[in-house]
Amino acid sequence: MKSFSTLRSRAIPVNLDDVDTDQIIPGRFLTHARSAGFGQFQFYDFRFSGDEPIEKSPFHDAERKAAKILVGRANFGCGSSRESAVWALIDGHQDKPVHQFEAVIAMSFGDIFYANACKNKLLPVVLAEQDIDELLAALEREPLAEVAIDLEKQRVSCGDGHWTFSMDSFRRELFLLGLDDTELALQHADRISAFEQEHRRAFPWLHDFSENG
Amino acid sequence: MSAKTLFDKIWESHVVLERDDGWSLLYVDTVFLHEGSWHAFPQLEERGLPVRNPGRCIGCADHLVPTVGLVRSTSELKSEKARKMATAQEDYTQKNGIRLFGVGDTRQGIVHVVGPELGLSQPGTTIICGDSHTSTHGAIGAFAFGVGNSELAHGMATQTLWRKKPKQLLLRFDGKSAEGVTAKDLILHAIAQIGTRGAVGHIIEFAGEAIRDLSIEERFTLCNMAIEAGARAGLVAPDEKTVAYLENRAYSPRGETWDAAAAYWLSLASDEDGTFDKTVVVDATAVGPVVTWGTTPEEVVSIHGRVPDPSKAATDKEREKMERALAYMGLSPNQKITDIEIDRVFIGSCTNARIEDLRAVAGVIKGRKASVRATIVPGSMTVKLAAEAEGLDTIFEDAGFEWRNPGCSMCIGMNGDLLREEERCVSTSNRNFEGRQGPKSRTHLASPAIAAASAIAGKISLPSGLE
Repeated sequence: MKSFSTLRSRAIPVNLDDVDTDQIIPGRFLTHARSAGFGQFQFYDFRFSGDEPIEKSPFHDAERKAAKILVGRANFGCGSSRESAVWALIDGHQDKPVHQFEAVIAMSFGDIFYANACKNKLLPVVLAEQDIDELLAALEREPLAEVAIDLEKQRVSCGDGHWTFSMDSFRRELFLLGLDDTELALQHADRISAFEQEHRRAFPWLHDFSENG
Repeated sequence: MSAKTLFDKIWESHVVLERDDGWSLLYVDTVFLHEGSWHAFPQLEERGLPVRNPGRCIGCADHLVPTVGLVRSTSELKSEKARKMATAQEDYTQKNGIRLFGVGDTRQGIVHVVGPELGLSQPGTTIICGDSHTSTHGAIGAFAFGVGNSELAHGMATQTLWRKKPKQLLLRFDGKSAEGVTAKDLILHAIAQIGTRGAVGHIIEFAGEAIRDLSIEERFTLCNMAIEAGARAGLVAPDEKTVAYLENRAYSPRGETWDAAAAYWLSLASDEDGTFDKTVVVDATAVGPVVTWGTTPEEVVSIHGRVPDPSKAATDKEREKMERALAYMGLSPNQKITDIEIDRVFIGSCTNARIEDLRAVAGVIKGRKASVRATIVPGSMTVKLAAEAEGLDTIFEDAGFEWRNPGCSMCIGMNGDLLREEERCVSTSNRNFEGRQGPKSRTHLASPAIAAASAIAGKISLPSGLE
């Protein structure tokens, strides 16, 4: 898996609190196959009204089409557990010009979105409210400014602004080393088996669902 | 021994190992899969990982099944996309030896309705599913939470997940709630009080007199919406009602094992001096019937009240948020709630589609006629058959309500059950987000009783407001 250390790119601001995963990818698109890339549905109703592009949306800004960083506000990715919200941000699309984000900076995240982002190596960065306000203000002044994220130093910069963040050490290490936590769990297969045996003895009613009913 | 909460007890009995940094490998008892979960299987196959314990996994078809017309098998699904996903679910569960309550099964339905009603969900267990409303199962005292497909794959491969113990919020409802106040009113009131971010990073234990008074079905409604306050899970301590609810369910234990299980379940309640990170008290006596007016589940107002006025907002940010919500909802400040005219009513979803909900609806609409298009989607085939055995379907149809087949339907709209642009709907579901029920759809969340009365009145109404 890809390791993450630093990232520098232009950024797309979504200056709203409580952006839920239905906004990131509306439910009506969830039946599509992922093979072509879920990026085509990324923030669909922010980018299109019916089939018409919403021109003023920063998602359509040609100057920012290489942006890999999304900047949100509080409770980003709340709501539905759909992992396709993360896929919509990272997948891109085989022939549509959509963003392939590698990091989201926000004040806070929905719990499930945060876990899904980590599983897919989309870096979630939590900055304090005042820092987010400053970062969004900087991007409003200079929409094409580059934002830099240094995961080792846990630092975000944009122009003259520098802000620090703190990421849980376990999560951070998985990003820095490009490790997957399923592998880490499988390393404990013996412990799991021993636990399971004891667990089944203690709770004999947790039987195999194919046995009755 | 130190005092423990309900959650402490469940957590501690599932920790396989704990790292120095506070992360634990947590044992997962039960895995539920809906059609959208099929994405987890190719992930396993790519890595050559088998499903570790297929006997502890269960599949349900709910998210994209059609609710109109009888569909006996996946091959009869008209939508190609739906057919592909349902077929993938069938193939993967079959290949891995996982029991599936699929399309055409007499026990098919919404996973959060089916799990408890078949006794698959049990107190004291850990439950995961690729759906945020997995919190529903917490109503019987389980630690049940939604995960994405990658964590589902992880859970199926290892029967564990990496977790840090979440913080615990005690949401205590003091006093008795008034006659006619439903679990939906209690939870919407509580979300309005603590906010949609009020419980982020926490699990919620719901307690207090008003909660003990609720039936198990009402507790499902309550825990279902814990996620709307930001909590990954909601729990209610198992009591005699829980035990009575689970007795003789299809997958509930029997005989001596049942006695042992029931005794264990009753021992799970929080000790008197168990410690919580936060306690919030809700005055249950002050809760009345409510609906949402905006685009998040915290934007709640008394049905006797008026649409809030942004000019009275405390901060500029709050004012802007209200103005955006009002513009989206097509409402004016200070409009009387009971003057708001509606286009549709949706009664269904994992929040409110159980037999007690349908009885409440029947009680309101019996002998009356719907004045707008109203749709009732039962939570499962079991619920549907029970309703029909009681003759509720006749009451619904006589009142001009559509009586459909079970599924998630218009709560998420994946199966094509959607509102048209700017249509206004009173819905018993759980999310009034922008676009949730279709592009530019306008959703007012409410209890089944209010939804039913609103369908008759053609505007937001209480049963007592009907002529």
